[in-house]
Amino acid sequence: MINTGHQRFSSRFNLDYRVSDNVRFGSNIAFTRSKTFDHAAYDQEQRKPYHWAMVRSSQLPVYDVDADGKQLSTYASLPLIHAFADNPVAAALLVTNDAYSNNLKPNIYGEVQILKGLKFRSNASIDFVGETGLLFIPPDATGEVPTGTLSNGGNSMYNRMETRDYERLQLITDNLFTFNRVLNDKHNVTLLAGNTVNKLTSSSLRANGYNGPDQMQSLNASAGYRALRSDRQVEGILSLFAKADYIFNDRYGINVTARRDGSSKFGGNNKYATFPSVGAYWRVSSEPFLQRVPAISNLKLRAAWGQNGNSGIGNYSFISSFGGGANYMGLNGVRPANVELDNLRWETSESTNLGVDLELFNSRLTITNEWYIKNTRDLLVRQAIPSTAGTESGNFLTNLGDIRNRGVELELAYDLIQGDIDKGELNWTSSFNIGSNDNLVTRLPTGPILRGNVNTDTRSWVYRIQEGDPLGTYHGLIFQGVYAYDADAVVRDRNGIVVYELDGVTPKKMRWQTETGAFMQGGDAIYKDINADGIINDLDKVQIGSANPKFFGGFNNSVNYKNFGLNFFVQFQYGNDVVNGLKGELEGMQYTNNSAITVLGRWRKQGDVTQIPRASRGLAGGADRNWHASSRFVEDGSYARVKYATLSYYVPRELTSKLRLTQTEFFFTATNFITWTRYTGADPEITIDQDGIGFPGYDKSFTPQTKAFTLGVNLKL
Amino acid sequence: MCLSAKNIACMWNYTKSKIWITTCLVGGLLLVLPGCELLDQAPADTLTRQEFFETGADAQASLISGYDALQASVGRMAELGEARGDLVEGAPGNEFRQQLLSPASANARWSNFYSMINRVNTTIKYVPGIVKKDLRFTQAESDALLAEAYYLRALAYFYLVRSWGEVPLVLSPSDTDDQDYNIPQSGGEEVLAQIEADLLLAEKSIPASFSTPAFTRGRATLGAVHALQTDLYLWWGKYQQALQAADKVLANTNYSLVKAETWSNMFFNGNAAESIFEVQFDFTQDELNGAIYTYGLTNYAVNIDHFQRYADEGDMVRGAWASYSPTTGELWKFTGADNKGAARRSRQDGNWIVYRLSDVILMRAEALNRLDKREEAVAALEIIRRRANLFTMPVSASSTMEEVEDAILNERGLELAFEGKRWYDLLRIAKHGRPEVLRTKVLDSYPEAGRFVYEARLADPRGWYLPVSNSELQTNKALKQNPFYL
Repeated sequence: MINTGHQRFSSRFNLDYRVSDNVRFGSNIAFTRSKTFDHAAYDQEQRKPYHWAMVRSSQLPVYDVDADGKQLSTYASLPLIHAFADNPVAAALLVTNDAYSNNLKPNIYGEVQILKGLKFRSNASIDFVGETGLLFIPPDATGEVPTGTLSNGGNSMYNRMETRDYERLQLITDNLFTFNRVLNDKHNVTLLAGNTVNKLTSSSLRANGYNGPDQMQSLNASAGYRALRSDRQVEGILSLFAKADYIFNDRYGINVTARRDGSSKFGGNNKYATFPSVGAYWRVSSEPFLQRVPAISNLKLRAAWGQNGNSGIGNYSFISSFGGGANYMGLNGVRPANVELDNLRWETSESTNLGVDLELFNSRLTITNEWYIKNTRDLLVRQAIPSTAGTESGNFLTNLGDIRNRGVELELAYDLIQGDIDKGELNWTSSFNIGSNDNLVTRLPTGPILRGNVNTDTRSWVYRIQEGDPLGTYHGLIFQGVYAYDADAVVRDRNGIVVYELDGVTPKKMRWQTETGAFMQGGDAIYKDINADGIINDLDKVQIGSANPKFFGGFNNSVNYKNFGLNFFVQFQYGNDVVNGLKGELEGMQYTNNSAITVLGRWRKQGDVTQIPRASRGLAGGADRNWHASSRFVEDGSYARVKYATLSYYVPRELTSKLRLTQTEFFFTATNFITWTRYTGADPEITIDQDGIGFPGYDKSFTPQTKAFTLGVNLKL
Repeated sequence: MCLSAKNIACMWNYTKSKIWITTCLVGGLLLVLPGCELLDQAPADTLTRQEFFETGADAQASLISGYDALQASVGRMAELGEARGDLVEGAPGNEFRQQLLSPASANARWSNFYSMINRVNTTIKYVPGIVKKDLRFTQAESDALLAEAYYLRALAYFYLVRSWGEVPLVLSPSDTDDQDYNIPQSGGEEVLAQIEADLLLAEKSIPASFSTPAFTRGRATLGAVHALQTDLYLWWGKYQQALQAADKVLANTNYSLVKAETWSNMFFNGNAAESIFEVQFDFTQDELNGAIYTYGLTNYAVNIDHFQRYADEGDMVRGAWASYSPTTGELWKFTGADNKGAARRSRQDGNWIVYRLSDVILMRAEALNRLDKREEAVAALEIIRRRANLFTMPVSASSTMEEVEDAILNERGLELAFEGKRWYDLLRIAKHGRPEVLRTKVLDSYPEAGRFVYEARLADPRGWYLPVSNSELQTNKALKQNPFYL
């Protein structure tokens, strides 16, 4: 993309001081300053000019054109003609969006050997981040004009600028006692006890100004309207832990851990929770009966069980707070903002792992196999509450429901050809891993949790988290084609028999959304009427896909021969679905969007048989009906991709030793350059939105990952 | 050596002492470790309930938030009270004008009113305790603020019960996650009884006026209580009580009818002598009147028949450029600028009148008529007609109850058009023995060809009330849908 990038400067300083054999001090400081510039990212959906380039009407030129058709140097920006799709080139080149970040990380520690085998270590560290940012969106990037609307006192996108300041300070202190003893050369005992104190303070200030004089990047000059936002938060975490580790004869090992965590995010007695875990292993290959088998160099059986806590929610969530701004007639008003959450507590994950590590033929072949089951209970989720409660958000955080994740992972590493690299012989190592995970909502007592539109471009995608379903499933209508004739859009009962009106002769026609809604007709999408009520609406939405792959993995290879090296990595996943959001926008034919070439095959007249519904711009009673959330936009997201491949040439050392270089490497790297997929969108590699549970891979048409080809040289002194 | 023993101790709540600061010396640097208090963090930009409700100022701020919610409800109040009636026409696809709202529709949501109720309930629960904490805050001041809160709660429930028929009765604030929020609907009678009780409490200590004329109209007063009581009892069919309440309003010297020449100014300038309770808006405070927004967007226009009614009466005061625009048919009341000017007001921050004297006089006429005091009823009607420079009377003391009621209803249409009254007027008369009035009036407001559709929808009285929103039914398992919509 034009005008996006990252620059970075870092330095590091270390100091170790040994006072005596028993006492040591040390300290290090790391400093990083970075600048990120992303001149185009100001869309609220975080989509970028890539998206606008896709959806902006192709009739609109990048540059203005004069009456004679001559191209001018100014950008064509007409926001009223095409909202939410600004001129992508103008946006990329004219918008300023810079962030400067300073990160300072000092760390000091002291270590004392108290007795033989007993050590105490104390560590204190600070992680400071200071960030300033500037965003400026000049009018020629957006085409906005300074006329204000009545309600907000100015056009908020005209000559808009924002400066922001952000500061975060994390203070961590750890104290750890370690005791280690080996008795009779057979019993190896390690005891650990310690605590951690973690305090995280952050504050931010964000100032916005708009409607000021053209091109003036000044908040002071922004006479029309200004907005200020500030935020300050403190989070505290206390942990205390103890661990006992016992190994007998290098054959049997067992460890027991207990930790108690406290978080400022929970109230009253729910601040603290205790999480135990135990683990054991048996190194079978150390048993006399296997030592006689030379092929097996290592065989280890592992089992572990443990609990973990999650407090991944916002600060102060449990506190009943009162907010201002609810004013009337110039008098201050203070309103209840959220309810007190007395029951909110830690989310707990309980996992059981079983594993086998096997190394064969002098470790030439390594096989690792792992089975796991992880039950997460007291899930931290937002539960909707009736609006009769009158709360502002309409929901509150609660510990609700259980989720189970089960899976298996297999990793194979094989030294295919074991040549000596130093002698220039052929050497090839290869590793392959494959895994499968299935998750299931095992308990959700209050019924399905629904989540609405991800954005306004593709209609009414509903995410439903419900008992018995995996997380990350899509719900929508089932698309069955396009009605060829008006007469085809009739209601049928569950047996497929046409239903008639009360007069007994007129076939009842399908309706959209409500029982008084618009009639479906020729050219409209055929949706499966699941409940056979003659109305296509939310009740007909069913699970139409899942973002969870059936399996996934990677394949890594490293080949060396003489002075050449080749390294490549393939990543794959299979069996997941992706919602192609862009397809909805380009085949919707409702707005002034650019359209995909496929719309040329749309339904135009009675009798047309096609998979693309008719153009529905301006249609009364639900113009969105033909691009509503449906299986039409759900695609197979399976893919395999060469993430990177690097070909290197190492210059023989004798040629470079005079330059005092220990290694000189020329390399050519290609990333993401081959992808095998049936997905029709730009990039099938869509991360599951971590915004909350259950937000599956919905392709909002983010900028796809770059295909990069790099030629470089690497010198080592 | 760095041993934060305090942290370890507090993990099991062994100690509660405040000044436990552990210091440790490592490498010549002094580090201060926080103790247990580390986990007691509170937001700096909001108040917690434990910090709030300490002073008289807090009490007032809590009450004011209820008015803030009322401001946000004005758009709903206008649309719920007007759209299904016979005075307006809707833009194509208008859901109210279909006379059949979908439970999936956002228009079926009642959240605005419950947001107001929650704020008011919070005031009612926590303000009484402040008198003990703030010595300068007197019991009388506390009672006066609470009276306003009771009024706002009564008003919110009155809109709810008239629109949905049966609604959950929530009388305590949403404080913690321990409460049961699945509250079933209460019957209409129970809700009306609660409104009556709230108004009786309000009546005891609410001020008759405030320090400025704007506050006297902009905040709930004794006059506003009596006006709402009139409306309540009329709706309830308790005509004697309605009459008594109306008489109290008439006796209140704060209110007098404005002259015909300045009639339309009432809706532009606001706070006229006639106004009893009017929700105030100020553009500079980012406050916008949702009703003006809705009307101004040409979502609604004056119904062609109603347009004709002013002409038939020869009404030169309340029709063109006062209630509607004669050129475009747009609604002009509240949205028009100046006295009968042909310009729209430039900002959508006009006040919204909830009750004014004419309304009460006509309600009084209706109560008198139902009490068979025909002569007095006709006399009350005449006051309103004379004020509008109409000197003929459509009915006389010898007319029937039905004839007089129809005349009052017609007058209410002319006088109170687009003030969010009409649908409730029709519903009230229909509820009390004359459903044909509602049906005929509403059906007449549609072109003849399509009437049979609406006739079917209005046949069942349950369909006069709105459905419970689907989203509400999903979250509250104790609710039952209005059977008409099943």
